[in-house]
Amino acid sequence: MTCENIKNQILLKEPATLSPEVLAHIKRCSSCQEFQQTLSQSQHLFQPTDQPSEALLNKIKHEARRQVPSHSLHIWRRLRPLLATAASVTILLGIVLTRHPQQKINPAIPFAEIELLDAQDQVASAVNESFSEDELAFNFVMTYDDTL
Amino acid sequence: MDPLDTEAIQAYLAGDENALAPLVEKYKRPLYSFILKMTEGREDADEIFQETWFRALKNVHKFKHNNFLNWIFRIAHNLIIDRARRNKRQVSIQGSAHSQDDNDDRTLEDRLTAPGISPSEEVSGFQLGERIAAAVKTLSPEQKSVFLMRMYAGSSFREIAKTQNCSINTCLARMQYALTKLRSILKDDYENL
Repeated sequence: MTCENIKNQILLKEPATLSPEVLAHIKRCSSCQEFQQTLSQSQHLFQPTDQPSEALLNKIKHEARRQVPSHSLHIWRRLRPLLATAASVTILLGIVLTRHPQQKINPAIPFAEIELLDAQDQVASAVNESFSEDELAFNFVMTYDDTL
Repeated sequence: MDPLDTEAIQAYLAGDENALAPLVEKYKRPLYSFILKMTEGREDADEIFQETWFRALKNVHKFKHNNFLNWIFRIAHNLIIDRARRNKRQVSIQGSAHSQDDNDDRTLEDRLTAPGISPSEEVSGFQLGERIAAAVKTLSPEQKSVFLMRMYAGSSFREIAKTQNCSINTCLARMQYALTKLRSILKDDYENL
């Protein structure tokens, strides 16, 4: 292992978890020894000491109080993934079922009564459907042939 | 993650308006120290500190990270990068406006660095806190960010790599460089520990 690899190991692992191979290297390498010592000393030297003003902290706390989510909103947010999944499944089912409506939903749609008539009577029936009962009665009177 | 942090966040989301106040207090020093060392002075630091918390409040319901401090450090880091980009654009616009007036070919960095004075000489007259701040300033923004996230937030290198959008090896190299450089600048302080 190179010194760079050893230094990476020093950065990545706790001293107690370093492998015997790494420890042996550190013992005989002054550069790696100094690096390990620097890391440990830096943790003492670089303490976070700066802090914001009380006014700024109060402003943030005030904003936190102002923006607090309501309880119902919290429940809604927790249920949201579940509702989204349910909605997706419904939409998917809708798409699948409307693509094959006759085969899947109602394969045995009954014939309309009109389809059981002869072609000529189908035309007459379709025409008659557009008339009211009075109009049909009028037509009947006007076309009635009593010679038959 | 600290179970008290989880409890505080859950309580806040459930409607307890004071639940986040202890977290603001608990993390004020590491977060503010990080921001202050990554920016130019307290005015900038105050703005970013406030914006970091406002963003955290707005997005706290999305928080799924296992470490709250890392999460707010990440928000702060992104805000600092955004601001630096904006400032860089402004500097470059101002720079191009002035370039016709002077014939100085030096870069901005060259102009800002006093010639003939080494970083260790520059920091020698300050108090410890000021010496540390001055030494950290000599690092590049990326080295500074890795070093401070590791020191102040205790972030893992995996998390830092994710924040900086680089590989873990790159982060490790930056940390090695930062430690070596700080040691050389603050030699006396390290030896007196």
